Amino acid sequence: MPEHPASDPMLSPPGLPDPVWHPCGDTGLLLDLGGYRPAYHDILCAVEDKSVLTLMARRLAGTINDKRKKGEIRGITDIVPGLASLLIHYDPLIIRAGQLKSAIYPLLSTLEGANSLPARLWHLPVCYAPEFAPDMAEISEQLSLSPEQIIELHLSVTHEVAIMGFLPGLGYMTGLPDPLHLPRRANPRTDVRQGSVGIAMDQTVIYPLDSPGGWNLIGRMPYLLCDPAQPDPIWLAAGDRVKFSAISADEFDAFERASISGSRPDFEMIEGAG
Amino acid sequence: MPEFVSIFSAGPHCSLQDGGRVGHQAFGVPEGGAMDRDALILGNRLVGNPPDAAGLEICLGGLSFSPTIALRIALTGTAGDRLTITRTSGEILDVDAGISVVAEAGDIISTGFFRDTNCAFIAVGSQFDIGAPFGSQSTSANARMGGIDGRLLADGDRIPLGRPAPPAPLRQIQTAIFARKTSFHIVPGPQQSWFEDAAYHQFIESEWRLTSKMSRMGIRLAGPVISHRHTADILSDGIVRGAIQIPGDGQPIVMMNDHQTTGGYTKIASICSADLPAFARLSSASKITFLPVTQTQAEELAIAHQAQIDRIISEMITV
Repeated sequence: MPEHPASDPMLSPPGLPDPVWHPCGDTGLLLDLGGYRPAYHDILCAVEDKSVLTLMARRLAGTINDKRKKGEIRGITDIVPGLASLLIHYDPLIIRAGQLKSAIYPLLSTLEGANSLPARLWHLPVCYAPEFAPDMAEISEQLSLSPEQIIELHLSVTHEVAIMGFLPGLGYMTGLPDPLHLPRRANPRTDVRQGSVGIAMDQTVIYPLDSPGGWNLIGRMPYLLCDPAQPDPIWLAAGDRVKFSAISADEFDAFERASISGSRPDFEMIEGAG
Repeated sequence: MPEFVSIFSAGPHCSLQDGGRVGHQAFGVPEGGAMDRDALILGNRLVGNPPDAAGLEICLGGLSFSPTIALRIALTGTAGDRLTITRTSGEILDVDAGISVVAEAGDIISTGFFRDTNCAFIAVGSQFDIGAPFGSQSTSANARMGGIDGRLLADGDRIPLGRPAPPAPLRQIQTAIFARKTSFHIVPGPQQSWFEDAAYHQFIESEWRLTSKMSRMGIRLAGPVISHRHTADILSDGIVRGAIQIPGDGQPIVMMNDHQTTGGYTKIASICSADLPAFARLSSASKITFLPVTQTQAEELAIAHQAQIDRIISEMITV
């Protein structure tokens, strides 16, 4: 049991459970902001709760990273925000889990009443042409929507990068309109092409590399998401917002050429995004 | 013309590995790095390199290569397997693990297929002159990053050499640390409570067999089906190396160095960092058991393990 339980009713927004620590071997400490509730995950966390917890996890990661940079907490090797949790990787030769909990416990109160932060809004071009959208016909039937309606819905909203994972530069973007929600493919593909835009559940992903994958592919985005040749190889981050715009196959080629020579998509800063 | 190491036969699974890319998992970048950290650190010590320098990680065996300049090399990660050096004169030399030796320009260094380990390491007394995306030369094949073109080594590859290690005597270490283990300490959690007590006890009390489904991303185990209380799905969270994931089919997968940084399946427990090198050396069909400890006990095991590494280094002899 934790030496310093994170549980404190003052720390949780109304209606949300108290955070709880879980061990991950001797090199990780998971702060579960969804609380200790071994229940079915749909019950555990309604969608609106989940987005609050995702935001809390991201903010806490930022606060801890600031402390690390100032040298106020030593021994943390990495911090990975999850959808409702924060994993702190640590080196047990430098710091122990008990000490980490003591150092992080006071930071939890900073989550309360934090003001909305400015965020980056990326404008990402996507080519929805049939040759880039191998699953469009099938999901059009499944969703009883025409490809034009699917594209229009996908373009209609601002998506949010909830967390990163799976491959370098891959963001799980939430915000997909309800009529587009559907499960992942029953038979995952063995070869999804780099840049492919896939949808499933309430999310959109863009594959940074050729990879196996089970998402429903509706288009392709021409910019490299991870370019180790650049000093700052990955530009997408958790918390970023994304608006898609439709482009032609010719425009796709032009953007792709520009990307290979180091060009990146446009973004603007938006206020009050959290 | 820069000096290089020429790969004649890469075998089934050989890659360049160093201490890994630390601190970029929030962007989806896997840590990577040598699966057997003991072999990495001790091997680099034997050839005079910094502890985290890149060397050759060889799964199963079957590697042969030749340098264009004299290099100190050492095989680690095994107590029983050996290197064979074929000199340009035709002389053949067998070298035990845990000893550094000078390979001259044109010598052919080879490993057979291993009998004592599944994964060994050859430290090379020179830095490699290749890129280091996110601060590491490690090959992460699934992330197409590091090494040569982000892929496993292939026959005919030439790996450019950079700065040689400073001159130092040849050395030898005790290799008992590389002996086979069959019991592994684990810390329960983070999702232990997603399993009924009976299922959790079945997990810790059963014997598990390593399947042939093993890669640098994960190693699948086979045994009784561990059923979930409700579901295998969780809200995606971060993953540590050594985490034991139980997906819907109830058969565990141990997350190795190239594991994905976040995932949506329950993790019942994690193998302790002190025991992970020995776990990485296990061959498929090995049978193992788990021994649960607390996180505090696991941290003490890590500290004791580091003390053991330090002792081996302090007892290193000149040969």
